[in-house]
Amino acid sequence: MAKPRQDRRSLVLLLVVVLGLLLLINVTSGERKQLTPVEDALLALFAPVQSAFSSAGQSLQDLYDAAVSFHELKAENERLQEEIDFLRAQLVHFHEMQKQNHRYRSLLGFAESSGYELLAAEVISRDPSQWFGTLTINRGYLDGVQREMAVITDRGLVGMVSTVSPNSSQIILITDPRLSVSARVQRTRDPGIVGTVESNAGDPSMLIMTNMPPETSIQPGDMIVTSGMGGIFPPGLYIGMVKERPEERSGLVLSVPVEPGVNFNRLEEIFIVLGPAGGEPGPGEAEPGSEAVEP
Amino acid sequence: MIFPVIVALCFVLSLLLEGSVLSFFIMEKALPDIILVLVVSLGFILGERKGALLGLGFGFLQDVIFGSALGFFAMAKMLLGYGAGLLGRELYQDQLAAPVLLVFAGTLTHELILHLLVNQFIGVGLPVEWSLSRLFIPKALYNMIISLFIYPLLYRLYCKQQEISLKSGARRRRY
Repeated sequence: MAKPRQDRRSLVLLLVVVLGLLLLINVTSGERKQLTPVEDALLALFAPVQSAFSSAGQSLQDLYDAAVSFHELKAENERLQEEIDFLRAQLVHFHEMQKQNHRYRSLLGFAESSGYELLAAEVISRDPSQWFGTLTINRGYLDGVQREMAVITDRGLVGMVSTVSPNSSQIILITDPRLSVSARVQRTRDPGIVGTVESNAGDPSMLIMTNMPPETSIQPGDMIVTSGMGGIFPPGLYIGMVKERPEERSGLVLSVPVEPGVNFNRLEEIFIVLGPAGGEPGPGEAEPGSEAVEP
Repeated sequence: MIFPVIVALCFVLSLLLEGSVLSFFIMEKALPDIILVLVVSLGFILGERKGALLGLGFGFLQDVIFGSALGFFAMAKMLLGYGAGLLGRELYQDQLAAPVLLVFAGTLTHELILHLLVNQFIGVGLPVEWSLSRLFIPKALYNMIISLFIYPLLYRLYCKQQEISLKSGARRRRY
Protein backbone atom coordinates (compact mmCIF):
# COMPACT_ATOMS: atom_id res chain seq x y z
CA MET A 1 0.00 0.00 0.00
CA ALA A 2 2.95 2.29 0.75
CA LYS A 3 4.49 1.90 -2.69
CA PRO A 4 1.60 3.26 -4.79
CA ARG A 5 1.26 6.18 -2.41
CA GLN A 6 4.96 6.89 -2.73
CA ASP A 7 4.67 6.69 -6.52
CA ARG A 8 1.77 9.11 -6.47
CA ARG A 9 3.78 11.50 -4.34
CA SER A 10 6.71 11.28 -6.72
CA LEU A 11 4.45 11.93 -9.67
CA VAL A 12 2.91 14.94 -7.99
CA LEU A 13 6.34 16.25 -7.11
CA LEU A 14 7.42 15.72 -10.70
CA LEU A 15 4.46 17.67 -11.99
CA VAL A 16 5.21 20.50 -9.57
CA VAL A 17 8.82 20.62 -10.72
CA VAL A 18 7.69 20.52 -14.35
CA LEU A 19 5.41 23.48 -13.72
CA GLY A 20 8.21 25.28 -11.93
CA LEU A 21 10.56 24.62 -14.82
CA LEU A 22 8.00 25.82 -17.34
CA LEU A 23 7.74 29.00 -15.35
CA LEU A 24 11.51 29.30 -15.24
CA ILE A 25 11.71 28.76 -18.98
CA ASN A 26 9.04 31.37 -19.54
CA VAL A 27 10.90 33.87 -17.42
CA THR A 28 14.39 33.23 -18.77
CA SER A 29 13.60 32.63 -22.45
CA GLY A 30 13.00 36.32 -23.11
CA GLU A 31 15.65 39.02 -23.20
CA ARG A 32 17.68 38.96 -19.99
CA LYS A 33 19.81 41.87 -18.96
CA GLN A 34 21.95 39.90 -16.58
CA LEU A 35 22.48 36.39 -15.32
CA THR A 36 21.35 35.15 -11.95
CA PRO A 37 24.02 34.87 -9.20
CA VAL A 38 23.76 31.06 -9.39
CA GLU A 39 24.51 31.12 -13.13
CA ASP A 40 27.34 33.59 -12.52
CA ALA A 41 28.91 31.36 -9.89
CA LEU A 42 28.57 28.19 -11.95
CA LEU A 43 29.98 29.80 -15.06
CA ALA A 44 32.87 31.25 -13.07
CA LEU A 45 33.56 27.80 -11.72
CA PHE A 46 33.43 26.04 -15.07
CA ALA A 47 34.97 28.69 -17.30
CA PRO A 48 38.69 28.02 -16.61
CA VAL A 49 38.32 24.24 -16.93
CA GLN A 50 36.18 24.66 -20.01
CA SER A 51 38.85 26.87 -21.49
CA ALA A 52 41.48 24.17 -20.90
CA PHE A 53 39.25 21.52 -22.47
CA SER A 54 38.48 23.81 -25.35
CA SER A 55 42.21 24.26 -26.03
CA ALA A 56 42.62 20.50 -25.96
CA GLY A 57 39.73 20.18 -28.39
CA GLN A 58 41.27 22.80 -30.64
CA SER A 59 44.60 20.99 -30.54
CA LEU A 60 42.84 17.79 -31.53
CA GLN A 61 41.09 19.62 -34.32
CA ASP A 62 44.39 21.10 -35.51
CA LEU A 63 45.99 17.68 -35.40
CA TYR A 64 43.13 16.23 -37.39
CA ASP A 65 43.26 19.11 -39.89
CA ALA A 66 47.01 18.63 -40.26
CA ALA A 67 46.54 14.90 -40.82
CA VAL A 68 43.78 15.53 -43.34
CA SER A 69 45.72 18.22 -45.18
CA PHE A 70 48.81 16.01 -45.19
CA HIS A 71 46.74 13.22 -46.69
CA GLU A 72 45.26 15.63 -49.25
CA LEU A 73 48.67 17.04 -50.10
CA LYS A 74 50.07 13.57 -50.48
CA ALA A 75 47.23 12.58 -52.78
CA GLU A 76 47.68 15.78 -54.79
CA ASN A 77 51.40 15.19 -54.97
CA GLU A 78 50.84 11.69 -56.28
CA ARG A 79 48.33 12.96 -58.82
CA LEU A 80 50.73 15.68 -59.99
CA GLN A 81 53.58 13.20 -60.18
CA GLU A 82 51.46 10.96 -62.38
CA GLU A 83 50.62 13.97 -64.52
CA ILE A 84 54.31 14.87 -64.82
CA ASP A 85 55.17 11.31 -65.84
CA PHE A 86 52.39 11.35 -68.41
CA LEU A 87 53.46 14.74 -69.79
CA ARG A 88 57.09 13.67 -69.84
CA ALA A 89 56.16 10.60 -71.87
CA GLN A 90 54.10 12.85 -74.16
CA LEU A 91 57.06 15.20 -74.55
CA VAL A 92 59.40 12.35 -75.47
CA HIS A 93 56.82 11.14 -77.96
CA PHE A 94 56.43 14.67 -79.31
CA HIS A 95 60.19 15.08 -79.75
CA GLU A 96 60.34 11.73 -81.46
CA MET A 97 57.53 12.73 -83.81
CA GLN A 98 59.20 16.07 -84.46
CA LYS A 99 62.46 14.40 -85.39
CA GLN A 100 60.65 11.86 -87.53
CA ASN A 101 58.72 14.65 -89.21
CA HIS A 102 61.96 16.48 -89.91
CA ARG A 103 63.50 13.35 -91.35
CA TYR A 104 60.46 12.60 -93.48
CA ARG A 105 60.37 16.15 -94.83
CA SER A 106 64.00 15.98 -95.86
CA LEU A 107 63.54 12.48 -97.31
CA LEU A 108 60.46 13.60 -99.22
CA GLY A 109 62.34 16.53 -100.70
CA PHE A 110 65.16 14.20 -101.64
CA ALA A 111 62.81 11.61 -103.15
CA GLU A 112 61.16 14.23 -105.34
CA SER A 113 64.40 15.73 -106.60
CA SER A 114 66.52 12.60 -106.92
CA GLY A 115 65.43 11.71 -110.46
CA TYR A 116 64.96 8.06 -109.50
CA GLU A 117 61.94 6.01 -108.73
CA LEU A 118 62.46 5.35 -105.06
CA LEU A 119 60.77 3.07 -102.60
CA ALA A 120 60.88 4.22 -98.98
CA ALA A 121 61.58 1.57 -96.36
CA GLU A 122 62.20 1.44 -92.64
CA VAL A 123 65.10 -0.31 -91.01
CA ILE A 124 63.66 -3.01 -88.79
CA SER A 125 66.85 -4.61 -87.54
CA ARG A 126 70.59 -4.44 -87.89
CA ASP A 127 73.42 -6.89 -87.51
CA PRO A 128 74.71 -6.44 -83.99
CA SER A 129 78.14 -7.94 -84.73
CA GLN A 130 81.04 -5.84 -85.88
CA TRP A 131 81.98 -8.33 -88.60
CA PHE A 132 79.36 -7.58 -91.19
CA GLY A 133 77.52 -4.48 -92.12
CA THR A 134 74.00 -5.65 -92.82
CA LEU A 135 70.53 -4.47 -91.92
CA THR A 136 66.98 -5.57 -92.58
CA ILE A 137 64.23 -3.40 -94.01
CA ASN A 138 60.45 -3.78 -94.04
CA ARG A 139 60.08 -4.11 -97.79
CA GLY A 140 60.32 -7.29 -99.83
CA TYR A 141 59.69 -8.60 -103.32
CA LEU A 142 55.94 -8.06 -102.88
CA ASP A 143 56.80 -4.36 -102.86
CA GLY A 144 58.91 -4.65 -105.99
CA VAL A 145 62.30 -4.99 -104.31
CA GLN A 146 64.88 -7.09 -106.17
CA ARG A 147 68.38 -8.29 -105.41
CA GLU A 148 71.26 -5.93 -106.19
CA MET A 149 69.12 -2.83 -106.15
CA ALA A 150 70.97 0.21 -104.83
CA VAL A 151 69.98 1.57 -101.44
CA ILE A 152 70.40 5.27 -100.68
CA THR A 153 69.35 8.02 -98.33
CA ASP A 154 69.37 11.77 -98.76
CA ARG A 155 72.93 11.62 -97.40
CA GLY A 156 74.28 9.25 -99.99
CA LEU A 157 74.81 5.61 -100.89
CA VAL A 158 73.98 3.03 -98.23
CA GLY A 159 74.59 -0.28 -99.95
CA MET A 160 72.62 -2.78 -101.98
CA VAL A 161 69.89 -5.33 -101.52
CA SER A 162 71.51 -8.70 -100.89
CA THR A 163 68.56 -11.00 -100.15
CA VAL A 164 64.84 -10.53 -100.64
CA SER A 165 61.91 -12.17 -98.93
CA PRO A 166 58.18 -11.40 -99.42
CA ASN A 167 57.97 -8.61 -96.89
CA SER A 168 61.54 -7.80 -95.92
CA SER A 169 64.97 -7.55 -97.45
CA GLN A 170 68.50 -7.61 -96.27
CA ILE A 171 70.82 -4.76 -97.17
CA ILE A 172 74.57 -5.09 -97.36
CA LEU A 173 76.21 -1.80 -96.44
CA ILE A 174 79.13 -0.26 -98.25
CA THR A 175 81.06 -0.59 -94.99
CA ASP A 176 80.78 -4.37 -95.26
CA PRO A 177 84.10 -5.94 -96.38
CA ARG A 178 82.23 -8.08 -98.90
CA LEU A 179 81.13 -5.08 -100.98
CA SER A 180 83.16 -2.77 -103.15
CA VAL A 181 81.72 0.01 -105.30
CA SER A 182 83.17 1.41 -108.48
CA ALA A 183 83.61 5.16 -107.94
CA ARG A 184 85.19 8.28 -109.30
CA VAL A 185 86.12 11.75 -108.17
CA GLN A 186 83.26 14.07 -109.05
CA ARG A 187 85.38 17.23 -109.44
CA THR A 188 87.63 15.92 -112.21
CA ARG A 189 84.70 14.54 -114.26
CA ASP A 190 87.21 12.18 -115.82
CA PRO A 191 85.38 9.02 -116.77
CA GLY A 192 88.64 7.24 -117.44
CA ILE A 193 89.87 7.48 -113.89
CA VAL A 194 87.91 5.25 -111.56
CA GLY A 195 88.67 3.43 -108.36
CA THR A 196 86.81 1.26 -105.91
CA VAL A 197 85.40 2.27 -102.58
CA GLU A 198 85.71 -0.41 -99.91
CA SER A 199 85.45 -0.83 -96.19
CA ASN A 200 88.37 0.52 -94.20
CA ALA A 201 89.82 -2.21 -92.00
CA GLY A 202 91.76 0.33 -89.94
CA ASP A 203 88.76 2.53 -89.16
CA PRO A 204 85.28 0.99 -89.48
CA SER A 205 83.65 4.43 -89.55
CA MET A 206 85.58 5.38 -92.70
CA LEU A 207 85.73 4.00 -96.24
CA ILE A 208 88.76 3.79 -98.43
CA MET A 209 88.96 4.62 -102.12
CA THR A 210 91.64 2.57 -103.75
CA ASN A 211 92.82 1.16 -107.08
CA MET A 212 93.13 4.68 -108.55
CA PRO A 213 95.93 5.40 -111.03
CA PRO A 214 98.84 7.34 -109.40
CA GLU A 215 98.22 10.35 -111.64
CA THR A 216 94.72 10.86 -110.28
CA SER A 217 94.20 14.40 -109.10
CA ILE A 218 92.59 14.09 -105.72
CA GLN A 219 92.46 16.43 -102.74
CA PRO A 220 90.63 16.85 -99.45
CA GLY A 221 87.02 17.99 -99.97
CA ASP A 222 86.61 16.06 -103.21
CA MET A 223 83.29 14.28 -103.47
CA ILE A 224 83.34 10.63 -104.43
CA VAL A 225 80.39 9.35 -106.46
CA THR A 226 79.45 6.04 -108.03
CA SER A 227 80.87 5.55 -111.52
CA GLY A 228 78.03 3.37 -112.80
CA MET A 229 80.49 0.70 -113.93
CA GLY A 230 79.50 -2.80 -112.90
CA GLY A 231 75.83 -2.17 -113.56
CA ILE A 232 74.62 -2.42 -109.99
CA PHE A 233 74.81 1.16 -108.79
CA PRO A 234 73.54 3.94 -111.00
CA PRO A 235 76.25 6.49 -111.77
CA GLY A 236 76.51 9.74 -109.83
CA LEU A 237 75.29 8.56 -106.41
CA TYR A 238 77.15 10.36 -103.68
CA ILE A 239 79.32 8.11 -101.52
CA GLY A 240 81.43 10.38 -99.35
CA MET A 241 84.10 13.03 -99.14
CA VAL A 242 87.91 12.80 -99.24
CA LYS A 243 89.27 13.95 -95.88
CA GLU A 244 93.06 13.64 -96.35
CA ARG A 245 95.63 13.91 -99.07
CA PRO A 246 96.82 10.55 -100.47
CA GLU A 247 99.91 9.64 -98.49
CA GLU A 248 101.89 7.64 -100.97
CA ARG A 249 102.23 8.39 -104.65
CA SER A 250 105.13 6.05 -105.32
CA GLY A 251 103.09 2.85 -105.70
CA LEU A 252 101.13 1.57 -108.64
CA VAL A 253 97.79 2.56 -107.26
CA LEU A 254 96.57 5.38 -105.08
CA SER A 255 94.45 4.98 -101.93
CA VAL A 256 92.68 7.69 -99.96
CA PRO A 257 90.36 7.58 -96.91
CA VAL A 258 86.80 8.68 -97.59
CA GLU A 259 84.29 9.80 -94.97
CA PRO A 260 80.91 8.30 -95.90
CA GLY A 261 78.04 10.71 -96.30
CA VAL A 262 75.71 8.34 -94.46
CA ASN A 263 75.86 7.82 -90.72
CA PHE A 264 75.35 4.07 -90.67
CA ASN A 265 74.68 3.99 -86.93
CA ARG A 266 71.63 6.20 -87.27
CA LEU A 267 69.88 4.73 -90.23
CA GLU A 268 66.12 4.60 -89.74
CA GLU A 269 64.58 5.27 -93.13
CA ILE A 270 66.18 4.44 -96.46
CA PHE A 271 65.24 4.43 -100.15
CA ILE A 272 65.56 1.56 -102.58
CA VAL A 273 66.33 2.71 -106.10
CA LEU A 274 63.77 0.88 -108.23
CA GLY A 275 64.87 2.57 -111.46
CA PRO A 276 64.93 5.88 -113.22
CA ALA A 277 61.98 8.22 -112.56
CA GLY A 278 59.14 7.72 -115.11
CA GLY A 279 61.13 4.95 -116.82
CA GLU A 280 63.65 7.51 -118.12
CA PRO A 281 67.32 7.06 -117.43
CA GLY A 282 68.51 8.42 -114.07
CA PRO A 283 70.53 11.60 -113.88
CA GLY A 284 73.79 9.72 -113.76
CA GLU A 285 72.87 7.28 -116.51
CA ALA A 286 71.61 9.91 -118.94
CA GLU A 287 74.92 11.66 -119.12
CA PRO A 288 77.89 9.85 -117.66
CA GLY A 289 79.99 12.19 -115.60
CA SER A 290 77.15 14.63 -114.96
CA GLU A 291 76.20 16.04 -111.48
CA ALA A 292 75.89 13.50 -108.80
CA VAL A 293 72.86 13.11 -106.56
CA GLU A 294 74.16 15.00 -103.60
CA PRO A 295 72.89 15.68 -100.13
CA MET B 1 30.66 5.97 -1.37
CA ILE B 2 32.87 5.61 -4.40
CA PHE B 3 29.95 5.17 -6.80
CA PRO B 4 28.41 8.67 -6.28
CA VAL B 5 31.86 10.25 -6.65
CA ILE B 6 32.52 8.43 -9.91
CA VAL B 7 29.05 9.36 -11.16
CA ALA B 8 29.58 13.02 -10.29
CA LEU B 9 32.98 12.99 -11.99
CA CYS B 10 31.47 11.35 -15.08
CA PHE B 11 28.84 14.08 -15.30
CA VAL B 12 31.31 16.93 -14.85
CA LEU B 13 33.71 15.42 -17.34
CA SER B 14 30.89 14.93 -19.83
CA LEU B 15 29.81 18.54 -19.41
CA LEU B 16 33.32 19.71 -20.14
CA LEU B 17 33.84 17.31 -23.02
CA GLU B 18 30.56 18.12 -24.72
CA GLY B 19 31.49 21.74 -25.20
CA SER B 20 35.01 21.12 -26.39
CA VAL B 21 36.57 17.85 -27.49
CA LEU B 22 33.32 16.17 -28.55
CA SER B 23 32.61 18.78 -31.19
CA PHE B 24 35.52 17.13 -32.95
CA PHE B 25 33.51 13.89 -33.26
CA ILE B 26 30.57 15.47 -35.02
CA MET B 27 28.62 12.97 -37.17
CA GLU B 28 26.59 14.60 -39.92
CA LYS B 29 25.23 17.50 -37.86
CA ALA B 30 24.66 15.47 -34.70
CA LEU B 31 26.78 15.48 -31.60
CA PRO B 32 26.54 12.81 -28.91
CA ASP B 33 24.93 13.75 -25.58
CA ILE B 34 26.83 11.81 -22.93
CA ILE B 35 24.89 13.46 -20.12
CA LEU B 36 21.70 12.07 -21.61
CA VAL B 37 23.26 8.60 -21.78
CA LEU B 38 24.33 8.92 -18.14
CA VAL B 39 20.88 10.12 -17.00
CA VAL B 40 19.04 7.32 -18.81
CA SER B 41 21.53 4.64 -17.69
CA LEU B 42 21.57 5.77 -14.08
CA GLY B 43 17.81 6.32 -14.01
CA PHE B 44 17.41 2.76 -15.29
CA ILE B 45 19.73 1.43 -12.56
CA LEU B 46 18.86 3.67 -9.62
CA GLY B 47 15.14 4.24 -10.10
CA GLU B 48 12.88 7.09 -11.14
CA ARG B 49 13.53 9.45 -8.20
CA LYS B 50 17.27 9.45 -8.47
CA GLY B 51 17.01 9.42 -12.26
CA ALA B 52 14.79 12.49 -12.22
CA LEU B 53 17.03 14.25 -9.71
CA LEU B 54 20.18 13.57 -11.74
CA GLY B 55 18.39 14.69 -14.91
CA LEU B 56 17.19 17.86 -13.25
CA GLY B 57 20.55 18.72 -11.69
CA PHE B 58 22.82 18.07 -14.64
CA GLY B 59 20.23 19.28 -17.14
CA PHE B 60 20.19 22.53 -15.20
CA LEU B 61 24.00 22.71 -15.38
CA GLN B 62 23.75 22.15 -19.12
CA ASP B 63 21.24 25.00 -19.30
CA VAL B 64 23.60 27.32 -17.45
CA ILE B 65 26.67 26.41 -19.42
CA PHE B 66 25.27 25.95 -22.91
CA GLY B 67 21.79 27.40 -23.02
CA SER B 68 20.58 30.96 -23.08
CA ALA B 69 17.43 30.20 -21.08
CA LEU B 70 17.13 28.06 -17.97
CA GLY B 71 14.99 24.94 -17.74
CA PHE B 72 15.00 23.43 -21.23
CA PHE B 73 17.60 20.71 -20.66
CA ALA B 74 16.62 20.37 -16.99
CA MET B 75 13.03 19.57 -17.87
CA ALA B 76 13.79 17.21 -20.76
CA LYS B 77 16.42 15.29 -18.82
CA MET B 78 14.41 15.12 -15.63
CA LEU B 79 11.47 13.55 -17.49
CA LEU B 80 13.85 11.18 -19.19
CA GLY B 81 15.51 10.11 -15.93
CA TYR B 82 12.11 9.58 -14.36
CA GLY B 83 10.86 7.51 -17.30
CA ALA B 84 14.02 5.41 -17.41
CA GLY B 85 13.66 4.73 -13.68
CA LEU B 86 10.06 3.57 -14.09
CA LEU B 87 11.08 1.18 -16.88
CA GLY B 88 14.10 -0.02 -14.93
CA ARG B 89 11.77 -1.51 -12.38
CA GLU B 90 10.05 -3.65 -15.00
CA LEU B 91 12.99 -4.73 -17.17
CA TYR B 92 16.13 -6.76 -16.59
CA GLN B 93 18.95 -4.48 -15.62
CA ASP B 94 21.73 -6.99 -16.20
CA GLN B 95 20.94 -7.29 -19.89
CA LEU B 96 22.28 -4.70 -22.26
CA ALA B 97 19.50 -4.64 -24.87
CA ALA B 98 16.87 -2.80 -22.79
CA PRO B 99 18.98 0.17 -21.60
CA VAL B 100 20.61 0.57 -25.00
CA LEU B 101 17.26 0.67 -26.79
CA LEU B 102 16.00 2.95 -24.06
CA VAL B 103 18.84 5.35 -24.79
CA PHE B 104 17.80 5.37 -28.45
CA ALA B 105 14.12 6.02 -27.64
CA GLY B 106 15.10 8.41 -24.83
CA THR B 107 17.22 10.54 -27.17
CA LEU B 108 14.35 10.87 -29.63
CA THR B 109 11.97 11.80 -26.77
CA HIS B 110 14.49 14.28 -25.33
CA GLU B 111 14.94 15.98 -28.66
CA LEU B 112 11.19 16.11 -29.30
CA ILE B 113 10.57 17.66 -25.86
CA LEU B 114 13.24 20.27 -26.59
CA HIS B 115 11.76 20.87 -30.02
CA LEU B 116 8.33 21.50 -28.46
CA LEU B 117 9.72 23.74 -25.73
CA VAL B 118 11.85 25.81 -28.07
CA ASN B 119 8.94 26.16 -30.49
CA GLN B 120 6.64 27.20 -27.68
CA PHE B 121 8.86 29.59 -25.75
CA ILE B 122 11.42 30.87 -28.21
CA GLY B 123 9.25 30.58 -31.31
CA VAL B 124 11.87 29.24 -33.66
CA GLY B 125 12.57 25.70 -34.69
CA LEU B 126 13.48 23.60 -37.65
CA PRO B 127 10.82 21.46 -39.38
CA VAL B 128 10.36 18.37 -37.24
CA GLU B 129 10.64 15.90 -40.17
CA TRP B 130 13.96 17.37 -41.22
CA SER B 131 15.22 17.46 -37.63
CA LEU B 132 14.15 13.88 -37.08
CA SER B 133 16.04 12.50 -40.04
CA ARG B 134 19.08 14.77 -39.98
CA LEU B 135 19.56 15.42 -36.27
CA PHE B 136 17.49 13.29 -33.92
CA ILE B 137 18.02 9.83 -35.41
CA PRO B 138 21.80 10.27 -35.99
CA LYS B 139 22.11 11.59 -32.46
CA ALA B 140 20.05 8.68 -31.08
CA LEU B 141 22.26 6.19 -32.92
CA TYR B 142 25.37 7.94 -31.70
CA ASN B 143 24.13 7.87 -28.10
CA MET B 144 23.09 4.25 -28.43
CA ILE B 145 26.64 3.30 -29.45
CA ILE B 146 28.09 5.24 -26.51
CA SER B 147 25.66 3.56 -24.12
CA LEU B 148 27.03 0.16 -25.19
CA PHE B 149 30.21 1.12 -23.33
CA ILE B 150 28.86 3.36 -20.57
CA TYR B 151 25.93 1.29 -19.30
CA PRO B 152 27.86 -1.94 -18.55
CA LEU B 153 30.52 0.09 -16.78
CA LEU B 154 28.03 1.92 -14.59
CA TYR B 155 26.03 -1.24 -13.87
CA ARG B 156 29.16 -3.16 -12.84
CA LEU B 157 30.27 -0.28 -10.62
CA TYR B 158 26.82 -0.12 -9.05
CA CYS B 159 26.78 -3.88 -8.37
CA LYS B 160 30.25 -3.67 -6.84
CA GLN B 161 29.09 -0.81 -4.65
CA GLN B 162 26.05 -2.82 -3.54
CA GLU B 163 28.25 -5.80 -2.70
CA ILE B 164 30.54 -3.64 -0.58
CA SER B 165 27.57 -2.03 1.19
CA LEU B 166 26.04 -5.43 1.95
CA LYS B 167 29.33 -6.78 3.32
CA SER B 168 29.99 -3.75 5.52
CA GLY B 169 26.36 -3.87 6.80
CA ALA B 170 26.74 -7.56 7.74
CA ARG B 171 30.03 -6.85 9.49
CA ARG B 172 28.47 -4.01 11.46
CA ARG B 173 25.61 -6.29 12.56
CA ARG B 174 28.11 -8.96 13.68
CA TYR B 175 29.89 -6.51 15.93
